[in-house]
Amino acid sequence: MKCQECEELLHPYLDGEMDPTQRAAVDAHLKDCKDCRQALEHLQMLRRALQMPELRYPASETLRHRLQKQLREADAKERRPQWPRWSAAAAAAVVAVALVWNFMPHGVPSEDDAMADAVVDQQQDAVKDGHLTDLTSSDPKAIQNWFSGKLAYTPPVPDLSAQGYTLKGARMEQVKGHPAAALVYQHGTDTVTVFVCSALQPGDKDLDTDSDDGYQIAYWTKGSLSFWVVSRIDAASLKQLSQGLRQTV
Amino acid sequence: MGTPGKLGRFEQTVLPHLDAAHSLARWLTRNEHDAEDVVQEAVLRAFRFFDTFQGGEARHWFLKIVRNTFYSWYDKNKRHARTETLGDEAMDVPGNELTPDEVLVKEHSARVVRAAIETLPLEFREVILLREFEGCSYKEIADIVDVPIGTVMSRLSRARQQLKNRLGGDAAGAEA
Repeated sequence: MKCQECEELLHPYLDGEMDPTQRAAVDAHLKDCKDCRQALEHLQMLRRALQMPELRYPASETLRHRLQKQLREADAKERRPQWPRWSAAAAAAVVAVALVWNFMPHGVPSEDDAMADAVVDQQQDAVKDGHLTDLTSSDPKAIQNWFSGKLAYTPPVPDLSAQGYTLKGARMEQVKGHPAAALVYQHGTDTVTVFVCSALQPGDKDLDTDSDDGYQIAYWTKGSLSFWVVSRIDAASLKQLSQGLRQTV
Repeated sequence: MGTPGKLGRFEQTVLPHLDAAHSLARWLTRNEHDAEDVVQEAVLRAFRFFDTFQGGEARHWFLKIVRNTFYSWYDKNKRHARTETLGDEAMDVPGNELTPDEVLVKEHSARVVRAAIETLPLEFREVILLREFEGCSYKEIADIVDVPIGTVMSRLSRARQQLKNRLGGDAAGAEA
């Protein structure tokens, strides 16, 4: 064994990530080679230096308490949608409330309204920064790979070239504090951005539309993901595109 | 959908690893305030996705979420011109003339080692943290960081080389 080879193997040797045969070969080389023995010794010293308790950062009690409180809130929130199961009367009441809610033109903003505002804000920020994409690519697979490890889910990246929308790239976004994928398409001079977020309330929800600050928004939920299509193109085109999109994702 | 006892199970399974999560976030963000933001987001995210957790190593599952959350945070903040050491230029850290064993006995050794770790490029920093502080296997690191095992090995070896250089123990690396 050459020293150069041995030196590379010292790391798995030190980490106990080596099969016995390889280990024996390294041992044999170390027995005869002072330089490599010394290299190993340095690695061991480094490891000891990293064991210092001062280098550990346990969570503070304050953080622990805050998290427990937030978890209780998140838990309560997740349980809330279950209550209609308790009785048909309660379910009917929910429907009634939901109807009233939908007919209130500019009432208290719902969760969807808040999300719509948030995606439009993000879109406006990105336009203002001149930073529409973190990754420029027209390859759906490459974009999907780029997101892996960045999100807790893999966003679908549809190819819409047949419909006249060219994939330009993607960027990471934070929508209401949650990481989301933003897929950017070009249609003539217009940009269409598809935000793929983890759904606040998983399930399947039909397409809905909204507009905010000159932007048209179409959105729906499919399983654990919610989709928000944002653009300045006209409402009818956006809706048509979104309906097609909803079938493919 | 919350099932009865989800919170209880989450507290039993995931929260015991809160210290590890915080430590990882603290080393990645390099300050307490951002670390707490990242941990908080990661915990809530883990809770949301807890139903998809299939059992197995909860710590590893949770650390992966912490790391992903960190990168989302980092991407977001980088866009607003936050700087980060991405190259492998060695910053001047105090104690460059010391060998690692001497560093051990010096009064301010923790500070010196801390500075050496903090100035490692992110991709090296995370593998060394997962290996040395969290005791993850190469396979676990490969999964958390989402790179092949070979890449984990080469990053670990480069990370250690840089640490040795920063701590002055370059006798072994003199020929390289």
